[in-house]
Amino acid sequence: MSNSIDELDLMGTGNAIFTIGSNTTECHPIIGMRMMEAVQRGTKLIVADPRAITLAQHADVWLQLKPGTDVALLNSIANVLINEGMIDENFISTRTEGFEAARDLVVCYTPEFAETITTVPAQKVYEAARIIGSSKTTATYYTMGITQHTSGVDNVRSVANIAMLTGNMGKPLTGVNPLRGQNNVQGSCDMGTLPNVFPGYQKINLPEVRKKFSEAWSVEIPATEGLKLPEVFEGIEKGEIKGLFVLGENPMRSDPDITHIKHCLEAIDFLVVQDIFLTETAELADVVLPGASFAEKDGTFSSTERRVQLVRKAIAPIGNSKPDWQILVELLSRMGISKEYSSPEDIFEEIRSLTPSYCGISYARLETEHLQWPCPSENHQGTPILHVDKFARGIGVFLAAEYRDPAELPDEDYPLILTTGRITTHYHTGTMSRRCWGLDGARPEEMVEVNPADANSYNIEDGGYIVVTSRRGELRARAQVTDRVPEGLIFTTFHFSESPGNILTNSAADPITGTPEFKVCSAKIRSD
Amino acid sequence: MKSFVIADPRKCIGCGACEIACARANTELSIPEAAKLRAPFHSRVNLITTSEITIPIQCRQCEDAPCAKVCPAEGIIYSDGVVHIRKENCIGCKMCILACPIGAVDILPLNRRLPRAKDDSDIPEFYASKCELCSDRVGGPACIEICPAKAFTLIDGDVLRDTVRGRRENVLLKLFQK
Repeated sequence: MSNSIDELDLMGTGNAIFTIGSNTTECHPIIGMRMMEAVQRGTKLIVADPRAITLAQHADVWLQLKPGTDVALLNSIANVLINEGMIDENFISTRTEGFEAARDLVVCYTPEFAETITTVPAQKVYEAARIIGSSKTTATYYTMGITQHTSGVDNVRSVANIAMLTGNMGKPLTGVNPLRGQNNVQGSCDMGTLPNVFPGYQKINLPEVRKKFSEAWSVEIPATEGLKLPEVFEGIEKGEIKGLFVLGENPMRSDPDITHIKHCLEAIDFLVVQDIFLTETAELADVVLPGASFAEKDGTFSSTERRVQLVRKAIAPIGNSKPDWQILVELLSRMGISKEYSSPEDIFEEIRSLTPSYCGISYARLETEHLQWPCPSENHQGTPILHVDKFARGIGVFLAAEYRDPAELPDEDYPLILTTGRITTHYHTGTMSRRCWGLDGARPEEMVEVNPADANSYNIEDGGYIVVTSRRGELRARAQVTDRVPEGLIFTTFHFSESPGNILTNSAADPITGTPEFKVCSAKIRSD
Repeated sequence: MKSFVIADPRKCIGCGACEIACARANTELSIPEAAKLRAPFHSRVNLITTSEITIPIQCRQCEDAPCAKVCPAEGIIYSDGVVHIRKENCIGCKMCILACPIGAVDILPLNRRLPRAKDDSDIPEFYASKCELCSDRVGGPACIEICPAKAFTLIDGDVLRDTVRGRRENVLLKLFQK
């Protein structure tokens, strides 16, 4: 997030919230709750989502777009903002570049034209744009509904364009705010798990950065970037990758097209899985390393607002499980690297010595202070709002994109659009939450959302079993007949191992990030 | 007048914590025991999510309860300010389900595998179940206590009286202002 969660509590009359591709009350319930409280205090709310999610019920304007048409929708909002003069010319001229090219691109995306792509009534786009353009501040929030598309990068850029057009960056109650889906997604990205960066997003291709890490770790670090997740599976298929080490991830349920994933994981020579339970992926492993749960280890998590927080162990690790860092240190030592670490704090000291944005954060400070990176020195108070005087790259750049269709569209054989997401009661692939009596009791099985008109066409009863089929596979689950989904759209989660949503999804991915298009594929249904 | 619990759809985020807290409050087992014994999960509050509204629904403790009236076995009575199910009298006829205008009653199968409270020794195979305001629970209704959005209110005689009085005063104020 460019801004901080607490800002929601300061919003009221005159402020606005724009959420797109985020079922916030379901997937980030506490943030969603605070959005609803802000609405009660008079904050205007615009929600863009294909489904009648709970937040849409409280919106001043609900933009019910067809899945995958976000770029067209966002361009049409930009079009109205520019045409009606509701832009921050001072911000655009002093802080950004590329405005003219973006303006020329969105000029044809009138709300009336966009409606032919998005199905959102043009009038709604005018209403939404006028709220964004006339409010003192607008904060934008998004999640996977923006990123999990073959146009994911274009979607994010289009969101940023609207924030820059209206000067809603670098000040309180504004910003471009992706809500991370798990407690430490931000932290693991911060720690250099992305294939092209070291900790703190320091680029691998910069020689001075490589030199710093090579010296600190006493090994020569190659200049080549790592592989993105889809490229890993391609590499396995081609026989170029022989071994895979999976930590705390369950690709057999969380990756798209899991039939293909299974094929790859069975083909690989050596698979190691480190996790707290025997996941569907761990069942295929040659070696399983039992990790410790959050309650059994010390360390830090970094939250969606870049806040680094201490976590302290409540109980000792059960059985022969160990905190992840101890397993990794043991592996390093058996591979002949004799780096000594005595504790998570010891490792954190190394992180801050090599990572400028974490440099000023220490365990001692975290005991009493709320610190959000960048925090470059011990007397720095952290950064609740990014991009205040300048952007990370200096001048912000408008990168508008043309609308592109999703990779797979409905046709005669697979006439419905399938989109996937989460429900509050379960966490990711259900590895933990399906083992909890209360959570699994509340939602014990998949309930595929089907619109009443489609239920009627396919003879499907509410609560009855159906089979959902895509070009990649099929699953059996109960149907929930509801107009929370529009006609032609069905929704499933990926929480239930016995009805695995990702057996259906498409592995087509964004060309830049490699993020798969979990949010759109085509499918058919029949009653079972 | 009998008290009842009601939720505010302007606040409810649909998280379902109320259902889980309710099921927990209405089992004799601890959560680890319930998990180990694979005890069934029964909530007396039901989260409803439509395209228009997200809200939990539970028994309103009607003053003239149709469920009690329709019960042929004296299985539903007024007791300590709540509409109370006498499980031991229940014959599982389901009339209460049909009579309830808000869908607050369920019929549950008895699970003989599970340990029971001492006074629950003579329970039929099926028995009716609905919100009884957690009347035996020290902390009061579990749904109110757990809700992160503070969406539930226990409406008792005082709340009703204050609400009505406030509205009457408002109406008068408006009349005089005109």
